[in-house]
Amino acid sequence: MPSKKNLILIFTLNDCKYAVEIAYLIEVVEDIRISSNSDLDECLGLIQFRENAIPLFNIKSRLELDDNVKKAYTVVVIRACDELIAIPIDSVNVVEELADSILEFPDIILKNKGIISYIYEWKDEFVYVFNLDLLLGKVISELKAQRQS
Amino acid sequence: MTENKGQQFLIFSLSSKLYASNLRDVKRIVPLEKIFEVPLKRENYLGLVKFEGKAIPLFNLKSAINKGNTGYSPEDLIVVQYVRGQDVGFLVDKVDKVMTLDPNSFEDYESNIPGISKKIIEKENDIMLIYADEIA
Repeated sequence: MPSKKNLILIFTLNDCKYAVEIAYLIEVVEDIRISSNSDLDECLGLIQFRENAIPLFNIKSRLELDDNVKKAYTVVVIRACDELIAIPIDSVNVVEELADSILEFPDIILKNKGIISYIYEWKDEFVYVFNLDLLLGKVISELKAQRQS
Repeated sequence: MTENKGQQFLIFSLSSKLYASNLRDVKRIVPLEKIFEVPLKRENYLGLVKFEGKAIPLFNLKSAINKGNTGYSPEDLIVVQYVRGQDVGFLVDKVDKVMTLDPNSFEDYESNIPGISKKIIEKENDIMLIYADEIA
C-alpha cells in the first residue's frame, strides 16, 4: 500500500489541473458556504469546519485566475504549518499514486517563485503540485499573528 | 594561416524582421507543439512545452519585441537556448540560416527592449542581436 507521502489529490481550477500532497489533506467538503467575513488579506471569508471557523483561501485571486462569486464551494481542507485552511476548487479529479512521471518545475516562468513544487504528468496534462507552505505563507503568518494578539 | 574572427549566428525572423542569436547559445530548433498553460506567468511567457522529457518555459519573443502582438501560429518554431542555467524556448516565425559574422562588427543599437542593444547591417537588412539572458 502506498504511503501518504506518495499520493496526491488532483483537482481542477478553471482549465488547469493542480494537486496537493495527501499528507497535507484533512478532508474534501462539498457545498460549503461562507459563514462570516475574514480580515485576512487573501481570504474570501470564514467557513465552519468541524466546529471551527477556518479561512477560505482565495486561491484564484492568488493565481490571477478568472473567478465568479459563488454561493457554495467545494473545498479542500488542508493543514499547513499547524493551521487549518480551506482551498476552494472547481472539482476533484482523482487521488494518484506518484509514478515516474514527475518533472521539475522551471521557476523562471513564475512571478512568485517556489509556489509550485513539481509537475506530475497525468493523462497528457501537466498537474502542478503546490508547495503549500509557500502558497499559503501570508495567510499562515496572519493567522499566527492573530492568535498571538 | 589566417585567424578566423567570425562566430556563427542563427538568423531568424519575427514579424518580417531579422534577428540573430549566437549559435553557441542555441541548443536545438524544434516545431511548436502543445503549450501547457501556467498560472502566474511572467510577462511574455506563453506557458510550458515538453522538450527532451523536461518541461521548459516558452518565451514569446514576438510579444516582447512588438508590444501587444502576442499572436503565434502552429507553423512557428521554438529555438531552445540555455538561459541562466536552464533551457528556455523562444518562439520565432521562421529560421532563416546560419551565418558567420564578426562579433566586433555589430554596432550599438538604441532600443527600449532589454536584450537587444546591437545590430549589424547585412545586404541592406538590419539584423538585431538578441541576448537571451537579458530578454527572458
